[in-house]
Amino acid sequence: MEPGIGFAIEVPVEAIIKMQDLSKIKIKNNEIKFYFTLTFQLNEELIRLEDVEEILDSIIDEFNAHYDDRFQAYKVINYNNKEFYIIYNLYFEEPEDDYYYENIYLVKKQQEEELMSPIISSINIYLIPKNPPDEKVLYDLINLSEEIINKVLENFSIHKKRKFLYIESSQDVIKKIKNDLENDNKIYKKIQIEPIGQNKLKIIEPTDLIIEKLINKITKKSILELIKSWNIWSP
Amino acid sequence: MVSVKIYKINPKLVNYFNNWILNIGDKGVEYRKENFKEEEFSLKFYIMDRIENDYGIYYETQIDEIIILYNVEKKEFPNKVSKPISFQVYNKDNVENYLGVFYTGNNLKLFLDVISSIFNEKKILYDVRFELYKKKNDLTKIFKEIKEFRAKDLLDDLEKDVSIRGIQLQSSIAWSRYLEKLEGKLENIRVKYRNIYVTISSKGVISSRSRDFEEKKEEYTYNILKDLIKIGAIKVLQEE
Repeated sequence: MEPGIGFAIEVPVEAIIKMQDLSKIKIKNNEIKFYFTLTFQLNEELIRLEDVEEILDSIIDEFNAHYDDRFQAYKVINYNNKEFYIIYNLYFEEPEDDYYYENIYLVKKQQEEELMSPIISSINIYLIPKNPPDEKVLYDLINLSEEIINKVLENFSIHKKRKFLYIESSQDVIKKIKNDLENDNKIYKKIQIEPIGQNKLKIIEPTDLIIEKLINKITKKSILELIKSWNIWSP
Repeated sequence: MVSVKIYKINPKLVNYFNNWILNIGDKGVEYRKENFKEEEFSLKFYIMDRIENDYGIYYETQIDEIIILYNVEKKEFPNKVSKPISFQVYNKDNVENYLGVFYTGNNLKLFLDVISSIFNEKKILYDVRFELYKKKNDLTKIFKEIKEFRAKDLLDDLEKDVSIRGIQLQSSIAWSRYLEKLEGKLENIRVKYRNIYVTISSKGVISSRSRDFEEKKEEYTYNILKDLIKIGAIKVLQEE
């Protein structure tokens, strides 16, 4: 009856944060970071850790992947003459007792095997632009994410999937982007936004329209207008 | 804590199953032989009591098991022990040919061991699952006080499984966030049922720490099963 404990095969958080720092675009005095996370729920088909790793590595290698000079354990891919970090985390549940084994010794043995190569329930793939030239990298990110999703769907039995766009910047820029997206009649019903603190936005299932809107909002001109409006309204 | 795991008796083998139980005498029936080093043990299944009640027949049983003990002089040595397990065959109204095995700890494994050893290839019991996720809205009509729920496979990159405790959770933001927005699969709920708290698991298990449940477990199980059948939350896993 006790629920199993969840585990993840994780890339160290510090490494992800450092990669995310390399995704920033400088606009005037502001910096904006963009990155994608793709989440896949695997069907209950008992696919084990080592098989998942092998398939994901082969998908990544299809994009001319090479190990990064700075983060040597992780790969960079080239897409449309731009570089992107592509890394993944895997999630699984602690195996439960199997009542069909004959005695307690076999149950224990089975659990040890399961822990060595557990059954994976969920995959997260991070797409992080490396030194992007400008905000138009978002177009590449959304296209690249679609290509990767298609490859994952071809190779695994996927129950559900979802795509997330993260935007990080100063509190004012994030507030402005959030308000603009939510006040846009064309997209406000379709968009799901979750603020994470005051400096980060999580956009669930971003569409081409949202990306277009975002790019318009964060161009140098818009940011200049934003800064001008702060000057007017500042006491 | 008393738990009850629900099975459905294969409708084609109901008579076969009932005759088998009826014919188990006072000396029990051997379900397996087990060897340890040069010693052979006959493991038996005993029916200690049969009680007809309002819901069908309640059976009290004892099941033999070999446990391996250890002391310095003898090193490892086997010992035969008998463990109590009770079960109820339900045959009333819509709750027909269901079997509830009442167990604590690991005893369910012993019961399954007996069933699989005796009936071998014959699939006598079908596993039963409670489709809590599919019927989550109907569940809130039966259970007005959901005190705890657990959901897994959340469709999010950071949140994967969740367990929430509180008051009237069916009206909470957490209920809609995890079960609707993040499409989590409802695994367990802990609810107030009459005057006790029970946990209902999608694996077809009902359990409670309440003394009242322990004393009237056949009755509580019948009533909860009846409610779950009414809303179509029972899934019988039939394998032929």
